[in-house]
Amino acid sequence: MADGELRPRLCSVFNENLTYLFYGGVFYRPSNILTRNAMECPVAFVFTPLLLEKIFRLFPFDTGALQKGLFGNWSKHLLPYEKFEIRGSGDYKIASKLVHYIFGENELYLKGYPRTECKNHPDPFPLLFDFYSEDLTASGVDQRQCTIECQGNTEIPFKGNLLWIGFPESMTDDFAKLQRLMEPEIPLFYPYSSHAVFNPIEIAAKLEEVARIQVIERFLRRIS
Amino acid sequence: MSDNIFLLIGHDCPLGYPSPVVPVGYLNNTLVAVYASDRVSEAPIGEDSIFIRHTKKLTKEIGKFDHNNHRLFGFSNYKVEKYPIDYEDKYFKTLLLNQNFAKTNPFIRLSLAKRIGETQTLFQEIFLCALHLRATSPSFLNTWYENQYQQIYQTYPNSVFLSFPENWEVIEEILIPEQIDFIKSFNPEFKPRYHRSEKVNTIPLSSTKMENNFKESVVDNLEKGFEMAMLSLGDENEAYNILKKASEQFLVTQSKNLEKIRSQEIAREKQYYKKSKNTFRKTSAKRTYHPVGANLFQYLVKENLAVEERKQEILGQSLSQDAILFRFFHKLFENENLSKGAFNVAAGLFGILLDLNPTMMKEISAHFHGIDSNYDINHRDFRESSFFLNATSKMMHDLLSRFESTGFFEIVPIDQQPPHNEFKKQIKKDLTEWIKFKPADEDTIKTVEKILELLAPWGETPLSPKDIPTYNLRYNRIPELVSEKSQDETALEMKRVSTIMNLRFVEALLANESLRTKNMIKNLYLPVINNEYSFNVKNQVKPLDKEFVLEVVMKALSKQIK
Repeated sequence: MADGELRPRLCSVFNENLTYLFYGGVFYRPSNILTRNAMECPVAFVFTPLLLEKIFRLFPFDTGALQKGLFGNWSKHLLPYEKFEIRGSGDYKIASKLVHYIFGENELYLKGYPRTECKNHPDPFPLLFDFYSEDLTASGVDQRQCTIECQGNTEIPFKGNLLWIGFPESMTDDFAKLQRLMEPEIPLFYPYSSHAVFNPIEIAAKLEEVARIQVIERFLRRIS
Repeated sequence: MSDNIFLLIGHDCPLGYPSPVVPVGYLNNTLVAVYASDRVSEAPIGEDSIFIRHTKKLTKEIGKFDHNNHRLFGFSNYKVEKYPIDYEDKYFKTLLLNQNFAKTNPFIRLSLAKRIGETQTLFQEIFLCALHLRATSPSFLNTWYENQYQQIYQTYPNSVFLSFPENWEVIEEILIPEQIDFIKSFNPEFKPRYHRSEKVNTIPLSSTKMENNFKESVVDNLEKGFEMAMLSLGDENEAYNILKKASEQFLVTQSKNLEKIRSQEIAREKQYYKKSKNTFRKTSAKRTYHPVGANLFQYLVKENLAVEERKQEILGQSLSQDAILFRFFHKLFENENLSKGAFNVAAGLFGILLDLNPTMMKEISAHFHGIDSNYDINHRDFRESSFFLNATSKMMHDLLSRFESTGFFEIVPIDQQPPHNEFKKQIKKDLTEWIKFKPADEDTIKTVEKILELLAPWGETPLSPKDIPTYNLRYNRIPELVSEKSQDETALEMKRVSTIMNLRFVEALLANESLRTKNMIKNLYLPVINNEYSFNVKNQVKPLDKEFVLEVVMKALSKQIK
């Protein structure tokens, strides 16, 4: 962040330098360890959809969660994940087309409701329909069950791309530094309360809600 | 939340010291992190998790830790304090009293202040953050403050929100003197706009004698006065609206019940007046007052003498303006903690209010007799402050609508209200500096001169289009606006043109880089041009073309954004 860009980091799953983004919303990926590093407090970014042109690979679910076995019995159906890989090819419409074919519209994508027509599409759409339709919350699976993962392998400059950021209020100074790198742009921002350390999952839910109201709503019109 | 015993063994500090930290320990033999939630929320973590394990010394210092009722605040790896969740605000208050606490990160201080939720503490911490950003990220400051303002608007009760100015610079003026030293510890160059030494003409007032002896007083406790004024306005009595509606219907229905309600209302007006008067008598010896407020109060005293005579008249009206003013003053006077400064603030606000509404002033003057000639508003100090412009606009907004509802007063179009001299000077200065005047031809120049003459009686140096080199007047909408055949077309056109020119003022002033001017416009002009003050009261002027207003304002605003 100090350099004004997100840089690809080595991903142990793909053994490549990658940046991970999710399409269409703020989806929290909890760490399984505590950290002393304030930078690892929940901080959410919303980037412009035009950034999708820089995405070189997409998956219709969170590959990290799949790799960690968070999808329970579904892991055996979804692995190897390569069969779900979609090449970005510099086309920013790919993710929205995926939403169209699986969910019909953005609103239903964010709610995680696939449309039944999805079953009639060629493989692996029927499998995806079944996966999305199954309620895995009892197994502790969060909303990442129905997210489109976007992978990039180049730097993502904040300037010109960042639309919204949510961060702990005590980190306002850090955000101000980031904003200086983006001048004259000032993205929308939401400093959340940091008088106590709240459960990251609760914070993430709040960030998701605020991001949706402040920025994502404007992109939610019907695709078709 | 769990009732089982929690064994605290360490903490994690995700936000950096000093800050609240996450207690880590064993609950039912499982290593958990205890997050804040409504109360607490325990999350199992791996045994290999990284966190700060407490030393024996620290464990001893913290003592018995109940994870359901305690939270931890960390100052370093080796200094952590526990506090009861129920007393979190008190604990935070203690922390904030320490000037050295979180000196390098005012935003953590602000977070704690928001948890406390007290106006003065929020003022102080927001101001410290603003100073910090002004020094480090000035381009971000205004956006940040707007964000804070919105957050406060959404989070806190009216009493806190109403005290908050829309412009961060105004806080500087509201800070009470005791805080100046405190702020100086952060910013040695800090200079408040108001010092204790600055004085304002005030007047010791007798409730029985009309002679005034001027005496100097010190402006202090501005914030309290401001808050008082706002709170008084915010004290909307539900019964008032019911009564108002009832009294409106009264004339038609002559309902006995409504008559009864109306008489109760008159009794209440009298009660307010008596209380105000009595409280005033008790306290007048101790205080000095601003001349505007003093004169106003004298007017109220005199008015009371005619209350009985006007009883029938009032019966035909809804709530009288007297009752509104009495209520306001009663609230001021009955507060034992009211300071001279607080009264001065309120009185000054009323003075501005009266001054900005000449029709109202005329009405009052009619009852004033000899006193009106002594009515000399001499409160430049107030006028020069955006704090007062802000406060006044809020009061204007609320009070004018109330006054209008009494039927006593007529709210006139803005072009019929000559601005106060100081205000005019300010506009003239802004115009001269910022308007680019570029007349297209001789006819345009003549028209513009007429317009300027119509709407800007500037005094010794009238503005002329020739004085300002470039300016683009947009008249293309005028023919559309002038469509009334039944009216005197020339007069109507000039009136509309002058109204449009007022909008041009808004546009020009919004282009001014001065935050104070922008604030002034935002608070004073926008509500007016948005028709909130009813442009069409006397049917002389059609309602302003809102679309056009919006067009101009939005254009001006977009320039600001660019």
